[in-house]
Amino acid sequence: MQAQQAFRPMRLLSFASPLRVAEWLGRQVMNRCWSLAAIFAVLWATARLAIRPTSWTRPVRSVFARQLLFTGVDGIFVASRFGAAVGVLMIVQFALWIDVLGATTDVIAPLLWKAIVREIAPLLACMVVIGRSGIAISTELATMVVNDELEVLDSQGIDPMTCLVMPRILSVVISVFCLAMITATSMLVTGYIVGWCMDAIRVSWTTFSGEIVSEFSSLDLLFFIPKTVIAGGFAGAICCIDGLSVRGAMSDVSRVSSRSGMRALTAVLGVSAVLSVLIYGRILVFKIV
Amino acid sequence: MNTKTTSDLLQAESGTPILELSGVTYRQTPLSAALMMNLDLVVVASDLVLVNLPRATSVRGPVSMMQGLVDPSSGRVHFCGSSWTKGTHEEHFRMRSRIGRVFESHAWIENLNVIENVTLAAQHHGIAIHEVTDRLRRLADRFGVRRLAEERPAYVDVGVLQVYQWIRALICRPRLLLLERPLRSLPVDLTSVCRELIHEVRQAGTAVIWFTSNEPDWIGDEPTNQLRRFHLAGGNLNDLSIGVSV
Repeated sequence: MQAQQAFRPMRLLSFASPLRVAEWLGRQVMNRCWSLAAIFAVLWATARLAIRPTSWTRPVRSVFARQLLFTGVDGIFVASRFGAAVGVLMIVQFALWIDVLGATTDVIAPLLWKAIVREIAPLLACMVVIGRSGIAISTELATMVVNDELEVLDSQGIDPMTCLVMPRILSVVISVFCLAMITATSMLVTGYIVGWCMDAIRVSWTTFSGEIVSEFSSLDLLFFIPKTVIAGGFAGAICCIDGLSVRGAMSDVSRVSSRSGMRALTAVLGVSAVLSVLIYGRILVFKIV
Repeated sequence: MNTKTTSDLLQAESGTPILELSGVTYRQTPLSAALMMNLDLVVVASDLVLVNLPRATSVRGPVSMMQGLVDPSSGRVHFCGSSWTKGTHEEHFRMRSRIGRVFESHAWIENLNVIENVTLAAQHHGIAIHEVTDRLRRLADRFGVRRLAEERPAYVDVGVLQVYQWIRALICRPRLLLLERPLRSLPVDLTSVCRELIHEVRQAGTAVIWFTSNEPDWIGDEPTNQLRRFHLAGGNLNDLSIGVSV
């Protein structure tokens, strides 16, 4: 049934008049715009509620702490594992390119640092959080909607936005930021160990880490903070919106959850790309600033 | 110097409308939901309104409408003089915090344990934790609950959950108590406790609306002149005390 629905637009497009095609495209564009507006509205409401001290009642603090524990603390080992694996892949690639280009090993540290901090670690942390918690959040919220649990909260004068959505989005943002740092550290340590074993890095750990610290600039924060905070906010908001927008029976929950995971991943990649363009001031090789 | 005593204040308050339905029509899905056609009803402080309705009729939708959670098809609903269609969301949540409700069907947050569920609203609305614990303990004692359930609702017996629904509805000392077939699944020996509690909250000025399909439920110790009995059928609310449709 759902597969039929998915194919229907394509089938219609192949037979429809140009006017119908334009209508369909227009509707798709409008839907995307509404989705984007909903995400910004939820993020704005989250920020407003988060800075208001009266929002932080005992139950809200409890939800926030539990979510932070599940998303952030429980995700440390997964993020470290992912970081270690990607660190190995990167150092192998760098070693190969150094051989090909004939560059010195001193080049490795700054390159590794820039690539990790500015691009790979934030993206990897987002993937870990979406995979572990984003889908779980949308499943939990969707189940609550189907079981009329939101009505129970509402009827007791508890705002679901304050009690359910705000603490979850906030903990996703904080978790992505923290896990990105852990991932970056894990990648650097693993990269050094493997590079040292492969004889690609011939300096001591003290020298290597010293070079990395000396490479650290305020510009790195300009890349790191938006890429973790904004992407994390988008991921959290999408998972919450999708979870709360479920209508119908329990059987719809799994469909909504998987869709929300994919949507969150797409959004994170999109946000990351847009931020890169804005921060670097380039589109591919063309300067835009 | 203010010389008014609590009983004076309650007496003055007793004529205050707590809930007003003006020309309310409620016709929503599912089809089993109780139908209301152009109803007018005023419930004042300390009122006990008993509404009898057919057994197969679900009352959850209309009660949600009284709480401003769903809009009526037409008409207006006021709680303590404020319309649910006016004011901000924050005001609505504050208004709802003064309404206690016993649901007719399962109404629990599944990822919290029963005690967390029961005390959630009280804690969220800023009642001190020791006060919440004290009220919980006193209400639990009234129902003869020796050990507070720390399991999640899925693992607790339906009859026990119904006791906790009563405690949850009363713990915030509501101005309005909405009871949807509240004695269903409740152990028979506890019905007298429920009636006593209703009597006490009414003395404190709380208005009570009790929906039931079982007439013996409402035969309590209340003097008949303090009861308002209705029968809801075919969308009309028939006043059983005077025999007219309102």
